[in-house]
Formats: sequence, C-alpha cells, structure tokens
Amino acid sequence: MNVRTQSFVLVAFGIVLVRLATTEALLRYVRPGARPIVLCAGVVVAGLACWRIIADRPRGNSPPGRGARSGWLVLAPVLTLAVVAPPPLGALTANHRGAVPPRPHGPLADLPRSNPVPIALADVVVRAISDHGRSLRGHRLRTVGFVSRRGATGFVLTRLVITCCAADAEPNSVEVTTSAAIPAVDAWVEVTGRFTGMSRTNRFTPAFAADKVDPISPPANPYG
Amino acid sequence: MADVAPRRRGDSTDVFCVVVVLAFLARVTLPGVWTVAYVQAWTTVFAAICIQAAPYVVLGVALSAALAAVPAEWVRRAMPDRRALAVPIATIVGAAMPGCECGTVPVAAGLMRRGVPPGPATALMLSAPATNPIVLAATAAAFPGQPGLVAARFVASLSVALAAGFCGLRPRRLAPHEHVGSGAARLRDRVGFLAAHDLAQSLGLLSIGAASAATLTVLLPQSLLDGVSSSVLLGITAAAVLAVLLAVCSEADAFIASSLPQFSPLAQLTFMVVGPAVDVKLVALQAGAFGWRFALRLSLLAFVCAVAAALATGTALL
Repeated sequence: MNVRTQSFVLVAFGIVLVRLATTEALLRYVRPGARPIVLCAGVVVAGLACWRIIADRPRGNSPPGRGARSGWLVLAPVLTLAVVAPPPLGALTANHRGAVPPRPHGPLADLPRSNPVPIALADVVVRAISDHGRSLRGHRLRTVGFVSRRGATGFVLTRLVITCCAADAEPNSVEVTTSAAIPAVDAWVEVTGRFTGMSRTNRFTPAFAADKVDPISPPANPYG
Repeated sequence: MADVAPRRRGDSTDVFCVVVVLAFLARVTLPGVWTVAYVQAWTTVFAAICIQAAPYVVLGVALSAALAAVPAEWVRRAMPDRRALAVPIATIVGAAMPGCECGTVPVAAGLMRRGVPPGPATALMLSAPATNPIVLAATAAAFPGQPGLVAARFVASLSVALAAGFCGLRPRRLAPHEHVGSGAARLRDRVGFLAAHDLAQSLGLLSIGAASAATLTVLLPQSLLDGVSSSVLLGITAAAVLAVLLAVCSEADAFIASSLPQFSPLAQLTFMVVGPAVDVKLVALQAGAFGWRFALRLSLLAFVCAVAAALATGTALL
C-alpha cells in the first residue's frame, strides 16, 4: 500500500469514528463516557491523514512512497461499521454467558413508595441476592430488558452491562412468569410485577410474577 | 507529455476503491449472512474492541510522534546509563502513568527509536497498563474487602515488568527506518510521516487481535469453563490462557475476573496479571512496532513471568 492509499484508509477510519461519536450508534459498542475520546481520536486521525494527502501529493513523475502494509487491515473495522453496522448484543450473548454474580455495590437504600417503582434490572438482581430480596418485597416493580429465552409460562428478561466495551458484556437476568402472550426472543419489553424469590434453576437469577408486559422500542443505550 | 509517460498500472489506491465498491455490493446482495446471530455478535464485539482501543492507540502514537521531535540527546540523557537503575525507574514511571496497554506499545517503540535501550522501554511498556492507579482502583472496586488481592496484583505485575526489563530482549528492527535531514520543515514532515505510518500499522494489526478476541468471546462455551475449573491447576492454566485470548482492557479485567466464580482467587489473580502483559491484541500491536519475532519472544517471556509472579504473590498474600 502506498502512502496515499494509507491516508485514504485513515481518513475513512477517522470519519467512521466521528460519525459514531455524533450518533446513538456509539452506545451499541462502548460505554457513553467514551464519546469524547472517540470523537477526538476520529478528528485527529482524519485531520492527520488529510494533511498527509496534501503533503504526499505526487511531485513530477515519482511514484508515491511506501506505506504500512498492515494498513489494509484498517479497512476491516471501517467496512464492518460503515457497511454492516452491527446491532447491539442480545439473546445469544445472554444465553452464552449465563447468569453471573452481581457487581459489588454500596449500601442499599429503601425503594421509593411509588406504584410501580421503576428499577434497573441490575438493581433487582443486586437486591435479590445481597439482601435476599428484603427491600424488594411489598413493592410493585417496573423494569426494562429484552427477552433472552422463552418458556411455556414465561420468559427470561435480560439486560447486559458493560464496563469498557461490548466485549466485556455480562448479563443480568430475571425469570418472568406471566399469563400474557410471550414476546419474541430479542424483543424489548417493560415488565411490571412482583419479586417472588429466586429462580429454581439458577442461583443468580431472581423470579418475577408479571401482571403487565408491554412491548417497547429499544432504548438508546442497550446496556445498563 | 502524456505520450512519453509510462502507462499507468493499477496501484493500491485503485485496489482501495474496488474493495469499497465490493463491500457495498456484498451488503446489498448478501443480506442473509448479516442476520445470523453468531455473525451479528461477532461483528459487534469486533467493532467494539476496535472502537474502544482506537483512542488509546491514537494517544500512544501521538506521544511517540512527539518523542520523535525531541532531540535524541535529551532522551538519552534523561535515562540513567546503568541498567540496574534504568529498569526500576522506567517501571515506576510506568506505574504512575495511567496508560492503557494499546497506547503504551507505540510509546515504547518511540522511546527505542530515540535511543532508549530495549530493557527500560520494555519495563515501561509492561508496567504502565498493569499497575497504574486507575487499574488498581478498578480492581479494588471489583473485589471489595480484599486488599490482599489488589496488593498481590500490584506486586506481581511490577515484578513481571522488572523481570522482562532486566532480560532486555532486543528487537531486530524498528520500522520504519527513514533518515531525513534536520530543519524545521523536514522535522515536521518526518513526524507526520511517522505518525501516519504508525497509526495505519497499529490500527491494522489491532484488528487481527480484535478478530481473534471476538471469536473466542462469541464461541467459548460456559460449560468448558465450569469443567476446567474443577481442579486448581487446570483452573490456573485456563485463567492464564483465557487472559491471553480474551484480550480485555486492563481497566475491565478485574470485573471479568470477579464474574468468573468458577475460578479460585489464585486463578483470578493469574487472569489479571497475565492479561495486561500478554494478549492477542498486544502481540499484534508489538509485531507491528518491533517485528513478529520480538513480539512472540517477549510475549512468551512475559507469560512465563506473569504466571510465576501471580502464583508466588498469590500464595504469599491471599
């Protein structure tokens, strides 16, 4: 690859980063906090490459200089993002990884006295395991996630959490029992119901009796 | 005079254009492939690793390019001559520097190009991602109430950096060798040329590491993990190999380790000491900067040191 092609590839990479950093698509791959550094990286890469295109422009008949051979491989992430635009991780990852113990956390405050109480799925798992669900009992809870597995009388509701990027995604799951129609795998739903104890099949998965299952559109940040 | 100019043959820029056109055609004509769940998960993880690492690679390359602008004389004078002093100093400087592993490889390459001996540069490269304050804070957060584990990680990773630094493996070449004269314009051009070259090379090789890590992340069956960790020795081996193949960032590896309850604390420690020293994306980045031979030898050395250090400190402190 010559230096001109190398610069073109880098411009493409920079543009892909800038484009990601200015849209919600970024949240499919990395945590929201990475947005500023991804934006800076994109601007720097594209800027540097544009400068090199001008600085390396052919003078007379001499051919352009040699660039890095491995520069071709930069096209792999560029084309993956620009052409394929991979979706957020879903049921496959959730089932593959299995339920994991909850993350460490601070002291658990009492839940607010609203009906229902909006609560993150990760919080349900933490409370169910570390204080045996004491702070969950007596509340009607509302939580959001996607369907990772379907059963005869219910489904498993999952939300993935990420620390740095989607490569370290780990699932938090709740086993939902409901008389409502069971949504398709990977469909996003809002579930309202009560905590009923732990699942009989997995020691890290709380069980939930749902009185309402509403389909919703996928949230901007699929992980959380 | 067009008629005397040599006939223009296709060059890499033409290939680039063809690849881009073909890629868009593939998207239109093969829509079925991209909806297979495994393909989707793989592409997501692959893209995620590339995006996550890119800013750190850019920062590392920027620092390395800035080093190219510093007179070699200054850099050499800043480093003590005696290896017995230079390696520990480089290790401590690395520990204070909150760098990610992807960023420290170009910095180490930049230092070597400026005449810093390979030993101290290697020590800095290995200590910065493993022992910096951010990583230690993340480890403490992932393992609350276990200061022994944080201490063991710190001591083990420092010893790996020191040991590899004192071994001082020497890369055969430092690409690219360009001797341009001095002068402000020449210098600016050289810095720009080096930065673009290093960026293309690092980002390109990074995608090999990302592809390999994504494959393992998507395909590794949980049952294999459960089976392997039934024995202590097997668990430690599995943790060390997993750290190399999964290639998670040093800031995230503590959370991954804590969510592998199948592993004993000693195996979890091994995972966290091996990961920042050797992993597939690091090997790829080092191969770009120093050549495959050096990258493989250094990785083998660091792997052995890391497992030994983790076992020694873990037995003493856990």
